[in-house]
Amino acid sequence: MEIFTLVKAEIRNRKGIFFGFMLLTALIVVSTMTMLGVNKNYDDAMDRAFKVEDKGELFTYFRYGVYTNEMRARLKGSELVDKVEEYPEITGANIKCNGKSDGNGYYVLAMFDTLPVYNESADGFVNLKGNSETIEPLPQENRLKKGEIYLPYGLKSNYNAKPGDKISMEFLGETREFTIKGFVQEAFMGTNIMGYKTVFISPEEFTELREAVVGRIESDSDIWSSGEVVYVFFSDKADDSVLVTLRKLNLETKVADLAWANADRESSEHYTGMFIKIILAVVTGFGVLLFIIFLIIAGHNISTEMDIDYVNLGILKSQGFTDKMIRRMYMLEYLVSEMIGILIGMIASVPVERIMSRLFFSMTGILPMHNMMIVYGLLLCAILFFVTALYIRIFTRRIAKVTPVKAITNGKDDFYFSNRCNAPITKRGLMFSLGLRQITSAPKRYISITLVTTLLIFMVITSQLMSGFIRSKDALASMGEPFCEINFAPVGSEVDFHVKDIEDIVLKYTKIRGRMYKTHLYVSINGENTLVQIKGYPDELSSVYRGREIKYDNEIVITEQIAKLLGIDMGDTVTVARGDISAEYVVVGIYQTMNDVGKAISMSLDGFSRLRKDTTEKYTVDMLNMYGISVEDEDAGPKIKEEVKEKYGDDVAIETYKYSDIDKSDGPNGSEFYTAADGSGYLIYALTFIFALVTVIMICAKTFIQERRDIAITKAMGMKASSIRLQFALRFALIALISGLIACGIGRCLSHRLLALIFSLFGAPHIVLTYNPAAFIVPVLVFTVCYMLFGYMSARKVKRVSPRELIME
Amino acid sequence: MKKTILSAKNVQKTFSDNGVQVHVLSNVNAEIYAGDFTVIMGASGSGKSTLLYALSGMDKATAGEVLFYGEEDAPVDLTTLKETKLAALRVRDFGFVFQQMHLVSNLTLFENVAVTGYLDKRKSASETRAKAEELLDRVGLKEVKTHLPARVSGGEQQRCAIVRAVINSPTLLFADEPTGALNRNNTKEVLNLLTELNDGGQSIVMVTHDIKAALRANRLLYLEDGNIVGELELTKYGETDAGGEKIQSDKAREAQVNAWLESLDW
Repeated sequence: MEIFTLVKAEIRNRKGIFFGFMLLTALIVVSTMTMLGVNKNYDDAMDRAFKVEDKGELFTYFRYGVYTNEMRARLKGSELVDKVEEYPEITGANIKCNGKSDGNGYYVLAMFDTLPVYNESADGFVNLKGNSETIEPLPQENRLKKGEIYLPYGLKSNYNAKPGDKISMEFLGETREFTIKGFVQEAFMGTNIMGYKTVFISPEEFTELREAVVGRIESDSDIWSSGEVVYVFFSDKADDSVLVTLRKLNLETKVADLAWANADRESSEHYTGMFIKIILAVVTGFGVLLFIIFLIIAGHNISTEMDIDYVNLGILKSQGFTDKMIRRMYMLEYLVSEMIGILIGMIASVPVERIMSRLFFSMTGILPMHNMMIVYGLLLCAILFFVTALYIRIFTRRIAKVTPVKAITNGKDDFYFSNRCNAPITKRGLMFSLGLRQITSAPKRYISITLVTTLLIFMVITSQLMSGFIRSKDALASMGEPFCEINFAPVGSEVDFHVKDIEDIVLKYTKIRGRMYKTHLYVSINGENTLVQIKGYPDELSSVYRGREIKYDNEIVITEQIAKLLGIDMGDTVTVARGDISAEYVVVGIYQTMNDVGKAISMSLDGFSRLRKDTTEKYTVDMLNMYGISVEDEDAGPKIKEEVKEKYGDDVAIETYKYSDIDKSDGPNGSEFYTAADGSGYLIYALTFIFALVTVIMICAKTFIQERRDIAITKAMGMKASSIRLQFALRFALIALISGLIACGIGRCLSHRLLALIFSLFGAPHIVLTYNPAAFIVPVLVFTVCYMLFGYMSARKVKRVSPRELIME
Repeated sequence: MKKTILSAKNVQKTFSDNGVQVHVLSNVNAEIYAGDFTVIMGASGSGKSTLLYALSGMDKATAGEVLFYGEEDAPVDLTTLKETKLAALRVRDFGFVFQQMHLVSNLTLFENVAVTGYLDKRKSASETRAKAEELLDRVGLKEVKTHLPARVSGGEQQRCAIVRAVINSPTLLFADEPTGALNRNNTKEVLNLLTELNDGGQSIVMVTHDIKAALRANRLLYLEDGNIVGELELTKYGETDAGGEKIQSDKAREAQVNAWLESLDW
């Protein structure tokens, strides 16, 4: 009971510090709980989506005529396969909706009865209730009629589409327009991160369209327009991961080699939740950093509190309080504040989690669950409590050294150390020199705030470097995503198209810096289904960072992910297969691409020609389907576009961009990526500044208590309250400046590694950072100014200190 | 005719403690004259320190006026003065010596003095430094001027505090029991210093309950229950006649003061 009385008194006397800790804990809990909640609810929702859709572990698409009886028999005969479900398909191309177009083809299927259909507000399904996993029959009004289509929810944001909008696609020469009936949850490729999509029309219309398309197939070059989608259900014997099973199955049946596209459950889960996982990793890292800062401040507070309470500790001991009881008092004080912070954080995380989940929902297309994270919450509480308790226990050890007599007679060493390293006091800049003296005469007091500020500024510098990095031309090129001012592609396979003609037009207006002509296909490398980038000019805008680019037709470059996955490296020979043709290649370099999160290889036109049925027929640059040119004069774009349009009309789609518009919504990458990256940056900035503010207020409050007597003296000497406040402000500005310098040094050494770690999640572990001085100077200046303001603000109590406090009545 | 530099008119000071009003000063009227060494005496709890703080503007009176006759044409009332004006007054016109010295603990003795000097815009930094050096030298602190307060004796600290209080040549020096925390030797050193300053023309108002300290004054005020109930004029301490003899011997002064205090039930 006596301890509770003391704790109550401590809290009453140190309200600011108590609330500060509460707020810090709440921030840590809300950020961590939110991201854990988003992640767990996404995982659960994804799991439910696959269960409800009930289409096994593997989506495969075979072009017309490739899924033969033999293939079917091989698949069904494999002991890794339980069953297969086959659905006829037609491929829609040249998609246009709400003024936007998509170069990817969509797999058009007859509507499944296992697909959950979103209600109007997209907060639930019309045929799946609550958390149920049993799909109900689709109500009559939601069934598709001729001319209507259901799109996966991931497409909604791509086209800014809503029910009733029109979407058109081309089916081997015939363009058809559909009315969007609504949106469905499609687990395999419903996310807007994946290019290919399955869309659904009424069974009657599908049958009619399929017949018509198949009727128009005349040659091999038309077989893209139709095919079979085969869903594979793995058997109990497939006890490895889905990816390993798929590799084994491919070696046994050639399913991945012959299929035009594959999407396995594991990869779909990975791509769909990629942003969530990355942001979770970043926010969790940030949460851990905040917790470290929390501990540093707690340590600082406990030690200064013991300094301030030194006499009281002696009095308590003289009254019979044991070391244990006093230490328990400190522990209770912090744990009570932490507990309230945890409670506030947990309550606040519920709406924040919902908002965040909703934001990610537009990307994933999977309706998030909204389960409460009770177990996680309790676990987090337990960890926070345990670490804090342990930490306080360590920090309060020196209470044992306090004896009643020593304390009461004020036998403690003076707060201040020797004056050996003291800064001089000068009339010019008196307040600054006094502020500096406060730091140099008691540096230990400022170690914790310097440490905390260093960490915070380091975070902001890293965030600034990241922001600059993702906008840097060289950086984009190094990640395999070079910025091309001119982008074009032939519309349809019938176009008489020559890249050389377009290059000639470009050269009339500007010089070419580099060309990125490529096609993306899927092949298997040593049995592993992988993206292959076939490049027209591999040595231009290259992202090879180890070894060299491809020179000969038997060479490939691979990414670090592929190297790790397959245990191969430069100099190794691998087998690359496409369909029933395979060839051996030598790995000559390691490169980067963010496509397929780095799971990719690259080869030249000649290299790919070796995988064609007729190897004498060369694959040429005009047969590729993505063309980008990086030019010297970005203003030349509109004129080039005009002339290309003049020559090719609508047969060639051409878009020109300016580098300065890189992060605009009509820029080459859309605005989402930059919005997400900037959003994370702003979040880090906001949290950092809240932390900085709370830290300064808390440290200032402690300093204020410690220096109250000195403040009264200086006031008695005639110093104005505003001057003393200015002295506080300058002191904190100085701390920010010193911390900033240290943070710059750390940033120069560690930011690169930290960013490489983050970007490895996107598939680009090797990054080239440009150390722009502004990325260092701006955060340091901003922090210095803010600390000055925070210091000035939190020293407002100086006004209340009166020289009268020095009076001994 | 003595020149008044500070005048207290009907000064009252009331504290409120849990709703109970405690009247510490009730209608105090007093004049402080230029060049005087005025001592305020009284029993413990009589309100002498409270009066000193009211007179020096360290604390505001609840009612009444405290008029300071400085360089301005009209006197300024400390009870209505704004904080910034009071701060300026503390820099230029008032010096204050506390019982517990109250030196800034992380500044050396020299810096404690110099910082106060720097606040005075009338002097340059080099003038301030020179004066601080000179004053510290004069009070025997030359050897320890670079020491922090915690590393010197109480007497040295108090001498430094007095130097700090006079660095800007204030009109009036206030001292609150400046020898209260000192041993006999240090007490003597400090009193000698105050006397020396007064001899140089420095007006001083000091609160003490030590008769030895009070003997240094030429004017004594006695406070009882928040009212001035007695006043005694003495010759200047150590004042000599034309022949160099003390006008009033120490013993005679002591007897006079004791008799006066006895008459006041001290």
